[in-house]
Amino acid sequence: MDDEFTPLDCLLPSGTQRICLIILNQPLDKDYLQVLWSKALLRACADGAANHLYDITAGARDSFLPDYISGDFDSITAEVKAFFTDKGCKLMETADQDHTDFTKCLAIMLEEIKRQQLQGSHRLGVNMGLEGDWCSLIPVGGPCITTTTGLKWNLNNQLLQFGKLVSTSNTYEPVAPGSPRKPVTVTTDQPLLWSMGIHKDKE
Amino acid sequence: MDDEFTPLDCLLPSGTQRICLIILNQPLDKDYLQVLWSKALLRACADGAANHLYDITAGARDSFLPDYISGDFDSITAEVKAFFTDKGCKLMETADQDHTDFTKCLAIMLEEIKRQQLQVDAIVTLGGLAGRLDQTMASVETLFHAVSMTDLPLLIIQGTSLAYLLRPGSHRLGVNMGLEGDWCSLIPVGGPCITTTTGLKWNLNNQLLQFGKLVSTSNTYEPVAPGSPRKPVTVTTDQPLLWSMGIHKDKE
Repeated sequence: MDDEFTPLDCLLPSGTQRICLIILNQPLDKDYLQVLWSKALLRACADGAANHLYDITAGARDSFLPDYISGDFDSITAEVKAFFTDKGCKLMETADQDHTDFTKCLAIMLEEIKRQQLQGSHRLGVNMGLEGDWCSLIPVGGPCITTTTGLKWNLNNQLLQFGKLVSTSNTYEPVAPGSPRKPVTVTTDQPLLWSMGIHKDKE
Repeated sequence: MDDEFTPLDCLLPSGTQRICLIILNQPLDKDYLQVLWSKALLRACADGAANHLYDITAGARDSFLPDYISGDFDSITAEVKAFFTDKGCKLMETADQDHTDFTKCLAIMLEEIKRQQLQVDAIVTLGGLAGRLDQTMASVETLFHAVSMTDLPLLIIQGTSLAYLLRPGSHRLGVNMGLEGDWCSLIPVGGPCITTTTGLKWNLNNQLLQFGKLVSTSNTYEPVAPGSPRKPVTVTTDQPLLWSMGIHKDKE
């Protein structure tokens, strides 16, 4: 699996990735919302996310109607639910208490992608100009034997494990001014959480 | 290890735990700072935490002088550094890049506790759970390191969350301070844990907790009759298991 994947392509207006968007029940970044919404082939809200969407899109709500809102509906307000129902958004109640609203929303998203036939060793492009100055590899869930290139502090068949070594506050391999960053490559034997900073002007 | 430990005792003004306080480089909860500071036998700042302390205690700075400030000093401002130095606070530069400022600050705290022969029940950390995801994870990693550095419980508090890593074995947690929020969780951050609990709404019975299989989040306490105290939560685990709980705040 050596095709390059660029995590922050989705935030670049001229990025080429085809994406679907899930919004969760948290305060929303308005800038991210606008870019991601305009590119997304499908857009969904998990329960109370619809409240945040409704609030933040006042004055332009007709341009921000999700394809569906799913969840157990213990967070969405009656007003917001009525608004989106009237506008034709699908409401899909998922009562299953063994899974979070996020997991259930994702399951529906995958079914929709399949139904609508929208259907694409790791190489991460980190040269969008949107990357912040930190990145990390976190063995959440269990130990990972990891090898990397393209990081300032690379790993060579290194065991990452909570209590032994976790790679946080890492960054990208320095390059000559004007040169593009090299992609980061990561090989791991177990699921490994990659996390990176996003550059925001207001920071 | 069946003594009852009450994580939120430290935030109750009338609580009986003897604590030491570490402040990390994050926006500070003023209410928590005041309660914890007044109870703490030792108080320390990790690097830029001193900036936050300085800002938030304007007008009363002489009452909030830490015993020491440690770190690689790439965050503390020159003004703040000078202020605390003039007031007699110890500055301890720790250049080691293999450990975070938090871990290094904890190491110094443990040495001080030993040197002064203090009787301490818990070390409480303010900050460390918000902001960058990798730094939150680094805080959790310090909880793991602490298990091999000391027998003392190490807590992290920020906002409405508390984090506490349970060592392998049995634990009894008091959850009846009146400060507990309405959620709690058990998260197998470093690897799978076989877990048994009582006192939760959704208890576990020799259950494997593992990312990708089952993680206990959005749990809560076993309901009791109105007016009755909550039962303690008991947890048995075979591997380090992260306990996290909500803290009730009036403004919520």
